[in-house]
Amino acid sequence: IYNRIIFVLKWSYFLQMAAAHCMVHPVPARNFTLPCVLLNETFLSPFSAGSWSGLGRELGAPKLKHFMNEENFLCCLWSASNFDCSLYRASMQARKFIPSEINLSAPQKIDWSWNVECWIRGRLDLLVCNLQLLKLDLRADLKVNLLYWGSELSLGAASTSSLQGTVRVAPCDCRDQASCQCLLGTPSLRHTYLLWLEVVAGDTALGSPLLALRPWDIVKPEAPVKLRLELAERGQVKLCWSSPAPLPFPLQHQVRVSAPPGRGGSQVRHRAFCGAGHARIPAFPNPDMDFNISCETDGYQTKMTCRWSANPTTLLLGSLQLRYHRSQIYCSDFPSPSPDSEVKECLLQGNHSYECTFQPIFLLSGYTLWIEFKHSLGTLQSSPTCVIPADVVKPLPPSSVGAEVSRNTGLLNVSWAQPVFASRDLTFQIRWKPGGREELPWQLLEAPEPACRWAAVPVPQPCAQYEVQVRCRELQGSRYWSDWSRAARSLVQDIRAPLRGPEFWRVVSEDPAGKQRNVTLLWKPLMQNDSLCSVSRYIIEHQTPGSPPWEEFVDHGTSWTFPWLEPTHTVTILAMNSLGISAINSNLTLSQQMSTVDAVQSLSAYLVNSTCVVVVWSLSPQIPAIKSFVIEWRNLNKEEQVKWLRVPPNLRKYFIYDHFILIEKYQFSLYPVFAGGVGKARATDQFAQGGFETGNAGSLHVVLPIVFSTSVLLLGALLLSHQRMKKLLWEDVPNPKNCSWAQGVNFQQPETLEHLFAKPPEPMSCEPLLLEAEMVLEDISITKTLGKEEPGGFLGTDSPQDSECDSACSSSPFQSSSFCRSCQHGAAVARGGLRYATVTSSCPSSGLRRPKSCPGSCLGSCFLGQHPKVLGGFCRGAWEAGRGAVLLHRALSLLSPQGLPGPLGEAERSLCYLGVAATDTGPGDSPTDSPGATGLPTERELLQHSPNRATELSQGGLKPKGAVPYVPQFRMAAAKGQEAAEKK
Amino acid sequence: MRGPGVSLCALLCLAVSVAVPVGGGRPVRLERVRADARALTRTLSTRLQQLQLFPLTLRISGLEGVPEGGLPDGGPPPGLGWAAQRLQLFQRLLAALPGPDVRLAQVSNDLENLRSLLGVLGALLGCPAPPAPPAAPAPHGEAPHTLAGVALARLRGCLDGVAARLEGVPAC
Repeated sequence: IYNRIIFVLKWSYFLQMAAAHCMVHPVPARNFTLPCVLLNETFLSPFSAGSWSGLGRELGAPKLKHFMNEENFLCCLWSASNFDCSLYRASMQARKFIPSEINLSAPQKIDWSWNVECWIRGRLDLLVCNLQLLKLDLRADLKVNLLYWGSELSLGAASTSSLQGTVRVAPCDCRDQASCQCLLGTPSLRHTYLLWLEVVAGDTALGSPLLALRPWDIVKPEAPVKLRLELAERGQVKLCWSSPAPLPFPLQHQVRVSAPPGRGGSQVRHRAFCGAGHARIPAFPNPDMDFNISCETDGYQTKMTCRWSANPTTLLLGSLQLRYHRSQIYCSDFPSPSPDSEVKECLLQGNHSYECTFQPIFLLSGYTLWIEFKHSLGTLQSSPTCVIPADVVKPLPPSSVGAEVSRNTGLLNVSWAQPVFASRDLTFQIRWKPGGREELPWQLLEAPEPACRWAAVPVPQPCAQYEVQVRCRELQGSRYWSDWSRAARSLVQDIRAPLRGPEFWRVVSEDPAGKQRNVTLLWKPLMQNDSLCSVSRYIIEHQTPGSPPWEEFVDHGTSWTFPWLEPTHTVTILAMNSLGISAINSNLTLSQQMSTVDAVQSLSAYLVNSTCVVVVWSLSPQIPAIKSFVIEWRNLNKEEQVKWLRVPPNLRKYFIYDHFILIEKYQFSLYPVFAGGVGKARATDQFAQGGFETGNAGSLHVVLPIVFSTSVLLLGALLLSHQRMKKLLWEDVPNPKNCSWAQGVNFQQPETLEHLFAKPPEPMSCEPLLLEAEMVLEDISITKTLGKEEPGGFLGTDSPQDSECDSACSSSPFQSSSFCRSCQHGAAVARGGLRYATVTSSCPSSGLRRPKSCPGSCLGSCFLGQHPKVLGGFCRGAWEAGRGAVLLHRALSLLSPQGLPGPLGEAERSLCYLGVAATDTGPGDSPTDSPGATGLPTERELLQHSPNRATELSQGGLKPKGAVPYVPQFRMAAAKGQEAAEKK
Repeated sequence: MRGPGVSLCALLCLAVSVAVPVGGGRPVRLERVRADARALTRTLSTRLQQLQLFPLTLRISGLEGVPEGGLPDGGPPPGLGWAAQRLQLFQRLLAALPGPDVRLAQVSNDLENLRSLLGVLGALLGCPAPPAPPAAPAPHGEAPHTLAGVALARLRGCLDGVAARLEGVPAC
């Protein structure tokens, strides 16, 4: 004992040195591998090289010294996969422990390694290290000791001087040659321990490297106790346990749940971090015990089928079965499983769904149903549900379904009978569609009254066959719809007598040989809306003076021929079906006398296109009242039946839509039909050239003088305005001093031009957007709308001297006569090849509408002209620019400050100028540099170029094509604002 | 017309749409019970009709033990007690017939439900418990189908009487 104490004291200093200079291996969490090397004096020289493999060979060598007697220690460099160790002796200098100076590399052979597992027992009273020798050929006299030394400081913070204390020895109990257990009593949780192993087998001593250990890190808690399992509601299991002893730190619990063998090995693991002491984890959600049990009773009320689906995972975890309990009558508010329940056999239907059938059933008993899950841990039950079979009846479909389209109303009447075993109130649903049309969808309709056994369905075509089905469900209860009943088909039948007889016409043919005239009646089949639904025959009533009327019947066809023997012969055609004869019928009187009445004065046919011809006619004065007109037409090049149509008597033109071949020749005839007979026809066999009037001739006769006189007045006004404008504007533009709006405007600056060309901000609500000046235009046009004018006009001034000019400019919302004058100018300028532009006035009345001034102006000034292209182009341009805008196309030369030389003279100078540049000048040239325009056309020349298309413009359907861009020249508001700013 | 067993409480309950707990505490209203009883009566009658039974006028000797289904002649019309008693008698008779028959089993189940409904209805009306029915006749071993046919035909007549009782306020 004494020697041992001396040894321990010597080692105290030695450990200080070793711990300070040697790599100390920290003990990992409980389990690690520890090498032990032979402590051979020969080998222990730090300067002698050796290998670990040689160590093994020297086991059992006679010259071994006991480890305890040496002041040697093994220092190792640890890594994840290997370690390099060398031996330290107490006589060495500390610096020699520096690993870089130790040239002792060890191979990876670790034959003498131990598997070491250390832990602090749960009660924190014992450090246990279990050793397991990896190589089992040790000798029987193996002795193992665990030497340890503790410090309150961690190794990282310890200094050499602080490593003080006593090295203690804990004996290890080696029960067999393979494993030993070392116990270290009452370890302090606050200490850090250095420990190492000493192994002695006979004369061979083995030593392990230093190990560092913190007891806090390797506490192995005791297993939880009082573990119990509780079945909770809704298929959950609750696990509860208790910790065996309180610990000064929290514990982490891990729960492992394994499925019973043969169930696929599914496992669920849960971890909970609970405080020390009694711990509880929530119940685990598997198996899924949420089952939706739905039941349905058949229409005969003898069988109830219940269906439910299971989660596949649940099926893996255990077995499921449906249990039920039947109450005598009805269900309770809170159904619960009953101990005297029964198991109901269910059949797996696929997709994890089950079907269970109860037959016979108690219709008004309450069936409490639930699913029972049997598991190795126990039995779980789903939430019970209670079903009364009478409440979940799926009724049989209605029977005796009939469908019929009712007479007079045209409604589809559907009737049915209540299904058998339907003892409760039902509601019905109808679906219908035209028969034989599989591609059409069903139309659904709820029966208006639940108690009714029929319904009237409005259908779009009462003369069609319909397919009808009906289904029902209970008003109360489960409201399962029954299947659809068998389909019933309605029959097409007459709903009412024909409303009217057919329109008909006659063709008179004379037999020159027999001197007999035959009349062929032609009529058109009745439309279905007039017949509803069929016409079985036509009845031709004849009536001649002095003879009783007689009838003829035509069952097939739409024509009938009879001889015309009497001077007057009245014919009426009636339509008949199974429900009666038409009430409103047309008649026609054939009269030889009336056939000579020439009521139609003229007849013209205009070919619009290959499908449309316009027939225009005029009547002679002093004619008797006309009931209607009949237009006949036929292709003269083909032998085809004459075509005809009836026209109301107030019309004077009519659009005939047919297929007209342009190269064929057609004859159009117009018959006036009087009450006393058919008058004399007027015919034409060629198409008229040119346009046609949409209004009647009489109105044109009235309008033309008015338009002409108005044009004259407007022309005069234009001339006057020309003079005023030339005074106020024409001369003042070059000289801003004489025109208020031009004062302060520097035309040399580009910004000025921008302002001038900018759109007036206030009133410009009409489109189009401002466009670039077109380089070449053929027209000069001025268009003015009749809409509300801009209040401010173009110019504003406060200079009395310039009032005349300003007033002239401000009156620039031009009157209609002015644009034709500008057209005149435009024509001349066009010949000069100049550039044109457009001035757009404001148009407060926005919206797309027809520029009334244009047709009126054209009508007044252009309609009489002989050259339609010029003004026609203008009118088109005005129309396209439209929307009430004022368009001015003027030659740039009109801006000349030297005035307007030319035929118009001073009158032209009063106009607001429009053009900005000649063709041969650049766009940026000053207007004052523009050459003057000469040779402006006169009004007459302009009028001669006006198109004869005024009427086209007056017709909405004849919209001109092509756009004429225009450019506004001035933005007066901007100039005015600039002027005001300069005055300020 | 009400039977002598109708108590003042029953009348009061009728006035306020009485309800009694049935089958676990759910209060059941009189109208619901009566409507269900009527519906079940119609269903059962339809079921019997589809069985193509013997005509009621057919008289078969040797079946005197089969109860008559029609209402007794003379006197006030019988009430719920009479109907429940008669139905129980028919139910016993059907149960005594040999051989499993799903149709007869369904009729028997319907009879049991109908008897339960009439019992609830009687409880709602404060009627006394119906007397126990007489013992069912022994099955006619030589002609079980005939016995069943006659019994069901007479049961249908009985149901007609029950349905008539249920149209108005039923008497005890």
